[in-house]
Amino acid sequence: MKIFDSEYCSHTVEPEIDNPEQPAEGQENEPSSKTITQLGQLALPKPDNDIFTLTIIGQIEGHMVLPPQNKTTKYEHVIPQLVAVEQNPKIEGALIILNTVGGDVEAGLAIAEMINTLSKPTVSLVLGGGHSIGVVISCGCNYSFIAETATMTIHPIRLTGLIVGVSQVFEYLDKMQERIIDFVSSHSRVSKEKFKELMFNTGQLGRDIGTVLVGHEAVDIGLINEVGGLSKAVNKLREMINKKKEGDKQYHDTLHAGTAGDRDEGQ
Amino acid sequence: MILYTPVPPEIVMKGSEGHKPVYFQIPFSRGFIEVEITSGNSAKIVRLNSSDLNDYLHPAFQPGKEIRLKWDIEQ
Repeated sequence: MKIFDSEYCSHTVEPEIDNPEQPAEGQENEPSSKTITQLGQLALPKPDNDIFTLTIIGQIEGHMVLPPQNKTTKYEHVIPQLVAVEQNPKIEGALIILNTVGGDVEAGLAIAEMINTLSKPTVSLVLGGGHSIGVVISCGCNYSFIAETATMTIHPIRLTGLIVGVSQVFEYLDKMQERIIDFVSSHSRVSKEKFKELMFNTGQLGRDIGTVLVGHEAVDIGLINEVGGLSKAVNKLREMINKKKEGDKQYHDTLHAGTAGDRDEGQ
Repeated sequence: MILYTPVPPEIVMKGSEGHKPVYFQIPFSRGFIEVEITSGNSAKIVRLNSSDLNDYLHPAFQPGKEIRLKWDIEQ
């Protein structure tokens, strides 16, 4: 494979993507016709994409590799990706698409904190399901959407199959839970008490305690900002990006004006 | 590790006993790529460790991507 060629491995800033259909600079129109005649394929135009999309699917894999029947999102890959997004000047915003059944607490919280502290606008969209730790990640974004039919399950953390023998184990679990409750209550409109109430609700889940929120219920409670789909999420992100650009310009203007003013005062 | 998921742990952990993947690290100039050998001449990217952040956004390095292995006989 090309990526292991010595040519690729040389230290270039922008590595060449092994895509023969990609047009060379200044020859945008030529290769598409070439592809049609040579391969019978239509080359799709490649728009400049300034939105980074992160899909969080299946289980969020943390410190342990999960068996292969699980679909997983690997946190050790997502975290440097988010650092790259923060540093890449071409990327203006991030769209986080969630369809997850939860996963490792630490990994989920780490991803949520990383997304939350990005300086670029972030919008989350919950499709299908954003359960357990997925709730935390969706709250970590600047603005959140949920599809009308999507669900979110809120339930306590537990160790199944293990008897809580000493009180410290219970306290430890309680502490872990507290981290989740704190994060959600400080990054959404749900209060600590309300979230705890949802967590320990009886009568909704067959043999378990917790709450299932469907679409607008999550919005009514205040966990999610709005019910909506893909176009709404992208439009919102665009709007936020434009606002940030305007804000940045104003900020720079005031900065320059401010430094000039300071200098005057100093003299 | 604490899993926070509505899926029962016995379902999540199903098959973990019999699953023994063969991992292999391929070094390159900025770090290494860990792959899982899937057959004699193919492997799947499992993990990337690179000093260049842009590699993590590069489509060729995403986990799960199948790669072809070429064997060379040294004489």
